[in-house]
Amino acid sequence: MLFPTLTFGLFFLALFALVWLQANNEWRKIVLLAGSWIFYGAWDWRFVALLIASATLNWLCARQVAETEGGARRAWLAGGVAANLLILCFFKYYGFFLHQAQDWLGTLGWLRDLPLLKIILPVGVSFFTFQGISYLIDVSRGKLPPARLLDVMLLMSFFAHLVAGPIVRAADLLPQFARKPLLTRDAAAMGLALIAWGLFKKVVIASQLATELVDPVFFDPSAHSALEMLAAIYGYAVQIYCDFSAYSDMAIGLAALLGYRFLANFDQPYRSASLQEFWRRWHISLSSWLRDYLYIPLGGNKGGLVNQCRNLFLTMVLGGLWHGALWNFVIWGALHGGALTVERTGRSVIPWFKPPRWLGILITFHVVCLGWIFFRADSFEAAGQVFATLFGHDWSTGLVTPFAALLIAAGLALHFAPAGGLPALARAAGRLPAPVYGLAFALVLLVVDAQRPDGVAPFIYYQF
Amino acid sequence: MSDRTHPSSSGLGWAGTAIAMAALTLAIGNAEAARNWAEGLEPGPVSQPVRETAERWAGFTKATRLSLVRDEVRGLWEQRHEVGWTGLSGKPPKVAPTA
Repeated sequence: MLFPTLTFGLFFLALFALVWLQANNEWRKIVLLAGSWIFYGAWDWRFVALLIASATLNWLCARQVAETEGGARRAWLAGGVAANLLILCFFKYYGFFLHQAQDWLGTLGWLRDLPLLKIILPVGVSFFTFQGISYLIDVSRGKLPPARLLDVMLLMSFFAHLVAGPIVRAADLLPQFARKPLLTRDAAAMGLALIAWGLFKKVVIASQLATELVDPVFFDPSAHSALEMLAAIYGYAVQIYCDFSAYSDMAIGLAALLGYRFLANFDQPYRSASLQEFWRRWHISLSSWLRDYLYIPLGGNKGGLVNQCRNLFLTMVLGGLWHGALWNFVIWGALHGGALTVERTGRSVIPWFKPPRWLGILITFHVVCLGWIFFRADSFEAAGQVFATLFGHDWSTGLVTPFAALLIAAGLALHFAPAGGLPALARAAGRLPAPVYGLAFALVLLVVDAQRPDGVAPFIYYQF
Repeated sequence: MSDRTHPSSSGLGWAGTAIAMAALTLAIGNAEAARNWAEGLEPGPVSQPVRETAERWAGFTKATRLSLVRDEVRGLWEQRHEVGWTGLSGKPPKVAPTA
């Protein structure tokens, strides 16, 4: 069930009414949980069982962690984290590691048929396992008391963030579950505005760029000119931002309409003047998760420059692998890790060197675009073809139409618009009478829907 | 629970009215989307009347020009490929027909 579809619209209308009809908070949560399972079960009912098992596991381990001491406590924590990672590795990396093992054995002249299984990747497994791990660790660190089973189930199953984030922390959401949600007029106006804005970014910018430029060029880079390749790379940078931030905006908007608050997941990332700044603005819930549960436990900023750089690099490589079981994602992570270590070393060795901000933005954007080539290409060989095309001599416009160029320019221009523009607009519009706001909201949706290409491509981050 | 005691009643009432208004407007002005959606439903005894109703409703809104905004925007949007780079290599620009 995809957000920008009528099926989801009808589902949400029914759920919104049913949830708010409940005067009792417990019943609200039960209705919301049932709705979330229906939403998730629309992909495959078997995965609902996995979700329930994962939530039950985290609930049980967190209780044991809170109630035990010393070695037993550490064992429950380690066991819980390992079980979460096992779920993730089995569904996401089993095939990848087995193929690698088979290849390595083959090169050693020891060919073996290893037990390959056709495993379907459950949608959102990377998101809910990370959420489970952070809940367990937060309980062990004493940041949270262990929650009730219903709350842990809902924390991990809440449909708004279930399949593509944001990775909402237990510390942010569990206290909200404990009290009766409040829907203010400002929150409702902002929620609806975020949904309309997200739909615009997904349907008008991301989907159009994907179908008209990025997908055809990346499908066969050698059949296109250098200009088309360059435009497709910039186009993909805009597409992935508009696609993923659209999902996050809609998730935040939907949660707001149900009375819950999620933190922002994007903050105009392409206006960053350094990679470090980029990661404070891009997929904020993942980068802060990696910082708190991987980078800091690895040693963080302690132990001198070499150790810091090692921790940074390892964190980014593992962050890359989190996206998928492909070498391309590992290279993407390594590239970001490498660039971050260069930045940190530079700041330490030549602290007086501060390039002008515009130059920093330009360099950062192009390093990020370089990473996107590996992220988008289907294989390492395909990435090689991209570079070969990029350094070719054919500069014909081909698929680079004025419309495609306009979409890229618009997607980049969004990064330099006033940051508080949408909230201010939503606040002002929230003063309107409800029927007028509803009419304006519907007209925006109608105009956006009229521009929709045939069919709706799933969000890019659904595959992770 | 009465409006006075429900803490979220003001925002909820406002949101509910706005959403209801939006749903009504979209049902009238974007019946084509409902028709496309109904066409994608798996054939069966339940989906058949849904499909027929959506088809009839879309036909009615088109005949009565209730779908005017959507049709106009769609028409304009479909012309986007007719704008080309003049004087550059690549795809030759199409010339708009003159009256």
